[in-house]
Amino acid sequence: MEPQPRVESEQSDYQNSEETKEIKAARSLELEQSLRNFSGSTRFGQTEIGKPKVGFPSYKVVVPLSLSTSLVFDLFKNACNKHKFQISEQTQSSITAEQQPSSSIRNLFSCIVPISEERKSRNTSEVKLLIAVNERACTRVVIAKGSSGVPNKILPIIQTFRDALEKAIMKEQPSPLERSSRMPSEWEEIEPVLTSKLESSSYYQFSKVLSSQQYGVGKLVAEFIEKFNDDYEDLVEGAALVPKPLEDVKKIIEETVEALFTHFNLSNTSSQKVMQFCRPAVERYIYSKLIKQLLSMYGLKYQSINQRFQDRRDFFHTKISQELMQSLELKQKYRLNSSEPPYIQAIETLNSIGIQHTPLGKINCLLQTATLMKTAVVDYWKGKEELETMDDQLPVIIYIVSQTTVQDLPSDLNFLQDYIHLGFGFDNEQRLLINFDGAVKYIADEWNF
Amino acid sequence: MEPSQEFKIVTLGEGRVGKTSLTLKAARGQFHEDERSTVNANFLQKDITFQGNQIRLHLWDTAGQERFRALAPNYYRGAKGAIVVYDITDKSSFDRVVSWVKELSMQADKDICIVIAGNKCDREKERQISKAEAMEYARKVGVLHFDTSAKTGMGVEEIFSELGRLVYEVQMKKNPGTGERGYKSRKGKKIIIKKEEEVQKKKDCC
Repeated sequence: MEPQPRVESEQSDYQNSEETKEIKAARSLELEQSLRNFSGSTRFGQTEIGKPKVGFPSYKVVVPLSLSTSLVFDLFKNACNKHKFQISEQTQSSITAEQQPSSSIRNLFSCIVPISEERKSRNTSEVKLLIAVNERACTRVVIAKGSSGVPNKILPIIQTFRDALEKAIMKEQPSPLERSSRMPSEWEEIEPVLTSKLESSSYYQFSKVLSSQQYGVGKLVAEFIEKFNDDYEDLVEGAALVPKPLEDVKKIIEETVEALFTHFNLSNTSSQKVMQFCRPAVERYIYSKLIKQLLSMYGLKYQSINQRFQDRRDFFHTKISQELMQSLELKQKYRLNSSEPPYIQAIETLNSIGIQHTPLGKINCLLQTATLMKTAVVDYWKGKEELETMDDQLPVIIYIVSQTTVQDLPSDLNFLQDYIHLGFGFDNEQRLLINFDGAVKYIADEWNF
Repeated sequence: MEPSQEFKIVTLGEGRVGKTSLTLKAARGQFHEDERSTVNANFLQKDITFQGNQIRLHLWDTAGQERFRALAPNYYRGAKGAIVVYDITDKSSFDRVVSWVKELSMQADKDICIVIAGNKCDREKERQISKAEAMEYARKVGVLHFDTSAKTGMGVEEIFSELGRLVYEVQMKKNPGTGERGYKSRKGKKIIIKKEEEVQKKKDCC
């Protein structure tokens, strides 16, 4: 893709003014100096901008979860073998392959002359494959990238790998002919949009497999739960190890999903429909067994803020809504002065976070709370007003959080923060979580009523 | 097309200076005098293209009131770029810019890129901060300054493109080899990934 021409506005002569040019020139000069001297970083990032360094080829693609990690690994290994790269390191989610430089007089010389290891390693071409699971979208993100050596040697591997992966993806998807010829069988109902019958029955199907000791995967999960309970029997010790317990849970979820996708009969069309709920179902099953223990550990770790928040909230519960809103300097139009308590639906929804048994359930609860908060405003003003800017939203969120009755909200939010940080693909949810977390901190430590 | 790079960008500045309007204009080309919009301003993104690379900026809006100042680090933590906004018709909002820049330089990521936006330039007659004063300050602290108007769109595309470019370059310098498409070899030559069949076809021709 060609770089787009910079948009020049007629009115933006200021940007092209002598002063701006002067700054740019000064910064370029600084940059050149810093590059020449290899000096340490300066305070502001802009002064560090350099000429683009060597770029290595890389390839990123999103694939369905049904394309197992082991299959992707195999394709990558084949590509490496084909181009004479050797696997130097492999973890559960990554592979590193490298190719030592071929014999030459220069290399022989480098063996005799003392050259630093770092410099030697620069001659080795290295390519990495990274696989991450986007838990929110239930997809796998595959990244293959060169990290050192000669880009032209790395490129063919990535090309071969890409072609093989694309073929594998095509294989996964039914052909247009297959799609058109597939008619719903007698027993197969078309899933109505408004209910989640298929999701519920999928959850049941997976629970049957996971709870059964006769399946390898069920045994794996049962053993993990037992081990987890033993390892973290002492909650205080477990609290000190946080977020390790959560990492353990996430690891077993990945393994279980992987195993289910590898061993289930995916050629069956009804299985395909069920498999889309595989990851959420596994997560729901495993967390439902362990969430109490996990949250207790977080409760102990964040005991102090839980207590401060609780004390302040109890105090705010003795005040009337309009007083609190006044104190938060909410704009009059967002105070929603009516017969029922303002933002009551959002408050009730946030209260239900305590009864959710999975992190995703809790995150959805926060999303729903934020939506109901905004809906309350448009509903009250019959669509004439909207709660849009963060300047306006944050005080309302603080008010809503101050009105909840849910136990240990601060530690629950910290649990969700760790869940999101350990995961992938939760950018938007993270923003939301930060708003609620900020509200909790404000109530616990900042709000001078 | 999947973006090759994604960066968190935070907008900071006193309340009512137009932070949300600026991000809305950049992301969706919308401006609403009465602040009503058809999009959710909480989850805005802006895609830009630089050197053939698709870059996605995740735009984080913040609350600018002084009383919420202590919560600001929660928002700018992990941000690779920051737009500090002030209202050219409000002198006090410019004073806050100084403290934001100071705070970011001390507490945000070491390599964060900062740009300053003098917003509401469509109201030039009411200007309280002279261009010279703003430019002088920006020059002093080594950041770029843009005059913007979320209402007319003036400078909006430029400020986001420039910030995206700055962030991209800083991050590429820090982590070379993370670009996904349109790579440069040591000699600066662009390498395009070709399908195996195409390569084979060429070989056959020769």
